[in-house]
Amino acid sequence: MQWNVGASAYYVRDRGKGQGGVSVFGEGLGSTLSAYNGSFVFDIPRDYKADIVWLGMNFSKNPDFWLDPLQITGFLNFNLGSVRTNNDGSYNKAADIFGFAGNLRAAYRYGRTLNDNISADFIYASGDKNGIDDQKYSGVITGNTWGMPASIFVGTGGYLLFPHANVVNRFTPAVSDISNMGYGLIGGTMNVTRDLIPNRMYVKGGTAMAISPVSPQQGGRLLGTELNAAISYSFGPFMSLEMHGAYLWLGDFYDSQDDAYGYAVNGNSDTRPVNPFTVFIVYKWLLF
Amino acid sequence: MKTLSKMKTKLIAPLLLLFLVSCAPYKNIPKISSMSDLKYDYQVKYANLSDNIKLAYIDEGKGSETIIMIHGLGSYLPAWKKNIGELSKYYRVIAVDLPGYGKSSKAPHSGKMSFYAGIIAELIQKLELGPVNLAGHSMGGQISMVLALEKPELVKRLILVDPAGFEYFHAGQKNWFKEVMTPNLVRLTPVDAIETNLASNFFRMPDDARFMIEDRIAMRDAADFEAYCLAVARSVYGMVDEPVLDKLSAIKMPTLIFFGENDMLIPNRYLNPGFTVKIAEAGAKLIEGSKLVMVPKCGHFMMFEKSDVFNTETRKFIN
Repeated sequence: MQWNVGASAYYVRDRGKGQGGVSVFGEGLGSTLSAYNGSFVFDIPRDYKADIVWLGMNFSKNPDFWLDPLQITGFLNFNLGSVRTNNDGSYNKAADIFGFAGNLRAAYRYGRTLNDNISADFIYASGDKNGIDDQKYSGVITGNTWGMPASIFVGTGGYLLFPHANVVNRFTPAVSDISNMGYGLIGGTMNVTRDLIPNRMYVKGGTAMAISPVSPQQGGRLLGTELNAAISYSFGPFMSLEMHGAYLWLGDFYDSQDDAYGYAVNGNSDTRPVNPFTVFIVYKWLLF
Repeated sequence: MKTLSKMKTKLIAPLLLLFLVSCAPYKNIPKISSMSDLKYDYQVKYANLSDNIKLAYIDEGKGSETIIMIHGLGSYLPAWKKNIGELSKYYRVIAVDLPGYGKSSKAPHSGKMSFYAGIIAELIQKLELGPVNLAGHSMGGQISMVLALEKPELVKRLILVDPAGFEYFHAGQKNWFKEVMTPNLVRLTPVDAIETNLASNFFRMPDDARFMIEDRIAMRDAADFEAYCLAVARSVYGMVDEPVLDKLSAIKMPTLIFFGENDMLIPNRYLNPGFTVKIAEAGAKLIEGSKLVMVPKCGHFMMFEKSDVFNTETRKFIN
């Protein structure tokens, strides 16, 4: 069984001064857009220049899940660079950037079909405890900062703590960007799926939990704990009726109204927001 | 930017190293110019049949009973390699490469089950074998049933391993098969899909089955590979166009049926998802006096994955 290893390098030369993008909020390091998609807001004027590089590697063993009952995938990605702001005509350093994120997912196919599996998914994203006051940002930056739905942590089995692939608007969960607004993320999920009728009907149960490496002011580190379940019945090729449900116990992270990173952690609520839940039925039919 | 430069130096080097040490899988597979160059463990013989068909087969062992082994779709006679050695201690064992497959000639043909059954009948007559024990895997099982129905005098016993033909497909499903399974689909199957396709034949793919993946990859360089792709596609048409499900009750010879409980190909997981045992029991019920052996923790390639069970049960059945 061979390992697949890949490497990636991306570079963004941001001279857009916060303009453009798909929304009225503009885009970029200081954009209000981040208040909606969960990324970190740099407290800088719009007239800035940024050069950011992402260097990463990913690996997988048995990605198709057929050759072996054990599947392992993961990635490690670093973002590094700098941002400079215009001070009376000259651009001076506002912050150096260095953050990283790593992910490891393992799944075991205990039964006959691909749905007979148990999986665990872990992610770590570095955070920053004092914003760019020290002229350093040690958190993670993703494509969300520019309105690109990249690096969305879907496929984990979570619904409310992390984004779920079935939800069109993927910016509704507690942690919609792995930077967790710049505070960082230590999270994991565990899921068990079983085919009650091979390739026709499956049930799934899962849990997700996350903490923040950095506490917001007047808040704790626990982001939340989720329990979820799903049942799906397939009527034919690429046609299924599914019911999903999830409940999230919000952690003490959301006791905080800290808005030092651009917007209030808990939406400016005086108390911790109520625990969210979701139940939905979806009929899927892929036509091609 | 100093920090950036330092970080780059520290990070790029190990990443490049990781990239370079990652191995390209299957890079050591020797190239073959013809599928005749495939390595078999047994001496291959050839029978010259009608219409200039040159049939490759191996003929091992001696005994009063003869078993003819017929491989499945896209496969070849080495699929029986874990059975030939053991069973040839007691019986004469003949395993064939069907026309269009393995080392047999590749002239285009209809791919019909009755065509293949006719080839086996001709081989039986040419080798003067008399009634034989027919062992067929998957498509080979359907061919065996067709021969048993058309020329029962040539078939003493039937041994069916995860046989095609027990599952019902309606007209729309048959058309889907025909539209999907084209020679180009076979020809352009990438390495990843070759691996996945082969692995899905097993509950847990054993390491000693990897030669099938390697041979299938090597075949792509062979001059007769396109003819093989045509044979595979036409064999699918042949299977759906000549169903045997409504004729099973006409099979009267002793029949032993094996199914891996975890067969992921029968029933078809896209068209008729469900339990293999239901298909197996329904088919076995139609063949009077047949014996069904459901093999736990076993996939579609039962005679390879649980060769001990196959060899033992087959000996009991013939004796």
